[in-house]
Amino acid sequence: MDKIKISFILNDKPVTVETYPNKRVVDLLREDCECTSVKEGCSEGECGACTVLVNGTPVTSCLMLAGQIEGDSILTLEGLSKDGELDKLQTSFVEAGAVQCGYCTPGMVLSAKALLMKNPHPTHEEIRRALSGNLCRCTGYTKIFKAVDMAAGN
Amino acid sequence: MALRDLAVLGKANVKKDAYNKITGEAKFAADLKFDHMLYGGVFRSTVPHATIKRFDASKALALPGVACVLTSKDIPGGNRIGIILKDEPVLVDDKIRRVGDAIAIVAAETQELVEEALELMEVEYDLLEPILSYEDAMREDSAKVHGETNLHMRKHLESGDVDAAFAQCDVIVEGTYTTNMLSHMFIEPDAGVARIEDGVITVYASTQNAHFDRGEVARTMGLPNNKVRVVQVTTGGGFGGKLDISVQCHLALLANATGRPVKMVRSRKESTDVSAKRHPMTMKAKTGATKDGKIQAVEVFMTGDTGAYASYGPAVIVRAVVHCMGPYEVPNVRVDADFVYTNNPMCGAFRGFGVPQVSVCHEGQMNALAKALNMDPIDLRILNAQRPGTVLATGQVLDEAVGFIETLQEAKKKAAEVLDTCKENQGVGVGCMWYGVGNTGLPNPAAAFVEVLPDASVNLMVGCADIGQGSSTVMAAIAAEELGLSYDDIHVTSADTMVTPEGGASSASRQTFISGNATRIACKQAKETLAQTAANFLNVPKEDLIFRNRMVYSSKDPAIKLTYPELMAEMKKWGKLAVGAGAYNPKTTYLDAKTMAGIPYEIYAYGTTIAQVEVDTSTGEVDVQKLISAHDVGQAVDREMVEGQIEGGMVMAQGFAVFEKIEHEKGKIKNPIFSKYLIPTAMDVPEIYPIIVECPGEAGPFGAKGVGEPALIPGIPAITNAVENALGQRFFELPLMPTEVMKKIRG
Repeated sequence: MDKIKISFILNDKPVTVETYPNKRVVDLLREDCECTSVKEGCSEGECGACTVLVNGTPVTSCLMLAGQIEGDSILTLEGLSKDGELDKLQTSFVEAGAVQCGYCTPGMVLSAKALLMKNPHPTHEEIRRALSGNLCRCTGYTKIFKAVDMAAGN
Repeated sequence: MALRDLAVLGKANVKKDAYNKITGEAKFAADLKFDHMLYGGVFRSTVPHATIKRFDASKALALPGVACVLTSKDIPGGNRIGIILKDEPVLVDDKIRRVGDAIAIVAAETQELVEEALELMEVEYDLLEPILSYEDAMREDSAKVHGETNLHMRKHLESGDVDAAFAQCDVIVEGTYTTNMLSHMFIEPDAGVARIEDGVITVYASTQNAHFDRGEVARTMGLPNNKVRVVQVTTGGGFGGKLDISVQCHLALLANATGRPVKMVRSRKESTDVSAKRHPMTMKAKTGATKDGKIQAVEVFMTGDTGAYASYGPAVIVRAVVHCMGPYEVPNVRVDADFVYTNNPMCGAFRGFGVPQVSVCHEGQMNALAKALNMDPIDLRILNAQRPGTVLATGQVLDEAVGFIETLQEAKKKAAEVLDTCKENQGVGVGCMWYGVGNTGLPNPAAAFVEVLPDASVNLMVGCADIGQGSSTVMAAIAAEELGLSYDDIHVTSADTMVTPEGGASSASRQTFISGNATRIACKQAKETLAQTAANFLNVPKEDLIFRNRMVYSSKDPAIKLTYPELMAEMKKWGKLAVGAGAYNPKTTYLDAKTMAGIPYEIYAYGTTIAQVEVDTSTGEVDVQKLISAHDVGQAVDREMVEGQIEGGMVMAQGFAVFEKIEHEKGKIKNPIFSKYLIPTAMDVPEIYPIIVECPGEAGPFGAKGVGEPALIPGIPAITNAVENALGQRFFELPLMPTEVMKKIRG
C-alpha cells in the first residue's frame, strides 16, 4: 500500500502527515503526532478512552481511518488548554476529585467538552447521556458528573 | 465533630497526580518510546490442558524484521513465577494448563510484524483431559493439573462448640450461595517496556507491585535483585488484576536477547484472557440464633476454583474463611473451605480477596434471619455487631478501633432522610462488611525514606505504587502532618526499585495503613534531629515542641517559635541533615495450621450500605436507585478521596450484583471484551450517599485504616437483599440477571 498525504487541523494548528490511508486515527495521533493523551482501551469503540473531537463531535478514534480526517479539525486533550491555561473543565475535574487512574480521563473530558460546546448548561440527564460512551472503572462517575456541573456553572 | 486535632489530614487536597493526568502529560506504559525500540508479543495456547508435541517458529523467524523468538529453553534463570506459590511457567515447559498459557515470545520491528510472526508459528498438542469444575477436580481418577492432587488448599477454622450451640438455637436459617467469575476490566490493558541500561535490566510496567516484579524478573533472568530495576509507570487501574506478572518477565527476556528496548501492549482480549479473575465460589451456610436475635453459631462450607495457577488464591481462601461469619459476635463458628486447581482461567486477587463473595453469604443469612425473627435488619445487626472487646473466632480480641455500630446508625439516619417510601416492586436492603487490613496472618512490611531539604521542601520516597487510588497523596498528607509542613511541601517518588524502598503490594487496602505508618516513622526520625536543633536554639525541652503549619513552637509558650526556613538555616549552620528511614510491619501472628487461631490482622475496617432498588417485573431488570454507604475509615486522610473510593466501589458493587459475569467454556473465556462483558456506564449510576465514620485507635497513621476494598463490599449484598425484599423472593446466585429474576417472578 502506498502512503498518502493527509492534511488536517490538529489542536488549532494545520498539520500534514504522510501515512498509510488505512492507519487508524488513534495510531496516527499517538505515533505520528505525539498526542499520547489519546488512549486505547479496547480497539472496538466500546470504552471511549480514544475519544477525540472531530469538528466538535466526539468520535472513538480507534474506529476511524487516517484517510477519513482529511481537512477536518481534530481536538485532543493536548489542545484543550490555551497558552498554558487549563480549560474550565480541566480545573473542575481536578477540583471535584474526578481523576483517579486517569486512563479514561482524556476521553471523558473531551466528551464533556463536546457537550458543553453545544449545550453550555446541560441537565444531569444530558450529562449522563453525553458521557455514556466513556467507561470509567474507578470513580463511579459521580465526581465526573460533579466536575461537568461545576464547569457548566450549574 | 472531628476525633483528632489535625492540621493536614481530614481535608481535601489536590491529588499529586491530578495535573499530569488532566493535561494528558502523564505517561502510561504504552506511551513510552525509546530509540531502536522493538515490539513484543506472546504465542499462546488455545487449549486448556495438553503437552506440546511440536512447536515450530521457523517461518516466523524467517520473516524479515523479526528479531527473535524465545521459548522456555531460552530462559537464563528459573521458569516458575507466582505471588505466593511459584507454580506458573514464564514460558511453557512441561505442559499447558490453561487457554492462554505462554508458549513462545517474539520481538520484531513493528507491531504488525509481531502479529504476522505469531500467525506463522505452528503448534501441535497432545491433549489431556481438561479439569473444568470443582467436581471434576475432586474426582479421584481425574487428571491432575499440578502434582498429585487438584486440591489447591483446604482450610478449617473452629471455635466454641458449634453442634451444641445449634441444638440450643430457637431459629436456624440455611442457604447455599454462589458467585461467579468476574473480570477487573481496568481500562488500561497491561503494558510495559524493558531496556538494558548500564548493565541493569529496567522494566517500566503497569503494575501494583514493582518490588515483587523485580524479584520475579531477577529470578527469571538469573540476576541479583540489584541488577533489575522495575519502575511502575502511571497505571490505568488495577483492582488486584495487576498484581500478577503480566509482561514484565517476557519483556526482560526479549530485551536481554536482542539488546534493544522492547515494548509490549496487550490487546483488551489478551488482557482479559490471561490476567487473574475473581474466584467463583459456592458457600453453604447455617446460622442459628436465640428468639431475641442473638446469633449463637455459624457454620459454613465453601468451595472455590482458583483455575490453572494459585496466584493470590491462598490469600483469598484464608481471608474468605476468616471473614465469612460477617462483622458479628459469633461465639461458635465452624468453617471449612476447599479450593481446587482446574484448567479454567487463573483466579487471583480482585478488590476484596474473597470477602465480597462471602459477604453475599453472611448478609443473605442476616436478611433471612431478620425475616425469620421478624426483626428490623439494622437492629438485628446492631444487636450482634462486633464492638471493642469482641472476641473473634480466631481468638483475637478487638481493641477500641471498631466503628461498625456507628456505620449502621449513620446509614440508618441517612436512609430516613433520603429514601423514598417503597412502592410495589421497590425494595430496601442492608449489607454490611468487615475487612482486615493487610495480608492475613503474614508479615507484609513496607518502608519509606524521607529528607527535609534546606528550603523546607521534602523528598519522600515510598515503594507503594499509586495506581490512581491516591496513595502518593495519602503519604504526602501523612508526612506533612507529622513534620508540621504543608501538603504542597511534599514531593513523592513512588515504586521505582532503584530509588524507593520495599513497599509491598498496593492491595489488601494496606498502603494507607502500612506504608502510611512507615512514612510516619521515617518522618518522626527526621523530626528527631529537627527537634533537637530547634530545642537547642529556642532553649526549651524538645518534648515541648510542636511542629505545625510550617512552624515549630513551644506548647508552653507559642511565642517561643521558629519558622521552618529558620529551623532549616539553623540545621545548616550545625551541619545537621533531616533524614529518616521508616519501616512498618503490622502486628499479626501466623494462624494455627489446624484451627486458624491467631491474629490475622492488626486492624479491621467496617461498612454498611443501604440500597433502594426497583425491579421491572415485565423484564426482570433491576434498577439500583439509591445507595447509602457508611464506612469506618478510622481517620479520613483525604475526605474527597475517601468519597471517591466509596462511589467507585458502590458502582462496581452494582456491576457485581446485577450484571457482571465471565462466561467460559472448556477453559476459554467467551466474553473478554467490553461489548460482551458489561460494566456499569454513566447511564447506570444510582444516587450515591457516601458517609465517612471515624473511630478511636491509633494503630494506623493518625488512626487511618484502609478503604479501597471496603468501599466495594457492602454494596453487593445490600443490592441483593433489596431485590429480595422488593420481590419477597430469595436469591442465591449472583449476578441477578434479568432472566434469573424473571424465573423467580414467574415462579
